[in-house]
Amino acid sequence: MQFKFHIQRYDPSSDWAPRFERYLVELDPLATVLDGLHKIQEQQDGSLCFRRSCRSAICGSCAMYINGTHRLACKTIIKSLRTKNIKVGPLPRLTIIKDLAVDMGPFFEKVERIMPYLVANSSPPKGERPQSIEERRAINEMIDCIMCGACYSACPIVGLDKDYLGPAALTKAYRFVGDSRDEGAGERLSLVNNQHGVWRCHTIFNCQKVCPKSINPTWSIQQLKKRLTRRPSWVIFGRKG
Amino acid sequence: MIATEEISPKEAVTGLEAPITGGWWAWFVQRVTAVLLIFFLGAHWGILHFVLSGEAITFERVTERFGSPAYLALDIALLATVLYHALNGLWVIITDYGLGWRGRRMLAVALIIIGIITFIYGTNALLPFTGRQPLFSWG
Amino acid sequence: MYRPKTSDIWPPRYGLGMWAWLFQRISGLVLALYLIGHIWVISFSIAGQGGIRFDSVLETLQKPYVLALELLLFWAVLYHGLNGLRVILIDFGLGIREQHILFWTAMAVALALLSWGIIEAWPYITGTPLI
Repeated sequence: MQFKFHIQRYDPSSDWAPRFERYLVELDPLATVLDGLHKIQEQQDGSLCFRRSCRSAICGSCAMYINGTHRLACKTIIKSLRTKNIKVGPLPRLTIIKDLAVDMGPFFEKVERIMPYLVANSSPPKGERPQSIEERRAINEMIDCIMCGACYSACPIVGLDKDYLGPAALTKAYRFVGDSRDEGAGERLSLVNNQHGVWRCHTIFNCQKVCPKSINPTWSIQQLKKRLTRRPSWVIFGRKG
Repeated sequence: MIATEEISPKEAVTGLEAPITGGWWAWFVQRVTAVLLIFFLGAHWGILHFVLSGEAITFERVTERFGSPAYLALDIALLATVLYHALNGLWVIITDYGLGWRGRRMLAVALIIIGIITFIYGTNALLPFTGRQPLFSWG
Repeated sequence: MYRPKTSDIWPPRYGLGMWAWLFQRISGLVLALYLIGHIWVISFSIAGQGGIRFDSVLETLQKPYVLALELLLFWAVLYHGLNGLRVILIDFGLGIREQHILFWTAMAVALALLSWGIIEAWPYITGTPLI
């Protein structure tokens, strides 16, 4: 079956503005959009630039703006788009490096900012730090995050306030705050307790709508707000140190 | 070997503005005033609709209504609450566009001044209904 | 030649929550403008002697077309208030995963109250009762 790909091309070093280029590709309807991009790159236009790695929806490299919404190219079956016109663009609200590759720098900087690692200063019990099934289940959803940046790119507040941490970083923060083994909740909560953190979230739910892993970042952000509201002494007067 | 220096994640992040702390109060009070407004506005409109139903609003009738101190207190409370809620809402909308430290502070001061002026102005407009002279007026 | 489709102009990335938020902002700004107008009109009309100007201003403000516009104000308040309640419930941690149901419930209540308002206002706008 023949499909028409409309791909947004832009090379900041030589182009004035992004443009759409069209490619006719012969593909199986059950192939993915990423297969189509590969075929174009291999057979028609070697200069096409995009990121991908695992092609099985776990590395989070190939998040793109496909037919009007944020999707993983490797997870999007062409048939599910129900059209022969496939429009592919880079993630909106992020700086384009070339064609479909965007600068994920700010995204990862913000994730780093909330200390995305387990803080366990107390000496571990003999062997390992055990966790019950219930305790693990409480953070199941947040652990699924593959950091593709779809939620970050879909959030209108990210587009407005360049310092806003964004749904992915806040979800990552709750992934550790809600972890029974973690001991850094206080510091982490103080990192998100500011006007570029949880209080900038207006519960718009775009992040939940686009997440390819069906995570609900808004829920995590609300849990963080709840934790902050339950600790009013230093929420209100600030934390020492 | 070049010595490596330990840096905290807060310092490691570059290009980002230092977090502006706070935000809990603004968020919380906005919600408290929202719930208060439902009652205040409900009473404000409820009295207009159910108590004064069907008759033309005239100066005399409004004066009669303001004879009750409870109604006057309700209107002043409504004015203060709605001004806080509206101006804080405006502050949230504008700061969504990512203002810096100075901009935020200037905006906050400007909105507080606007709020105080509007409160005085609005309360002043209620005085004639209570049989007093307004502090200032047009024409 | 590629023709843009509806989904390009009205992209599906704008979910229900996005529109709810956007209209919350717009209605909030409309209500803030109304508040300024309301305070100004009352201040303006009480100036002068013994409420003469107040009576004439209020006579204008009780004309049928102004009453029809007031229904729009009523809708703005209902939307802002009921969607605001939805946001507060979400902030309390209630119905975060059921925000669609919450939204449409709030809108059903708002529509019920608006239709009550229309029925009440109808005689003053048209001169004949609606039902």
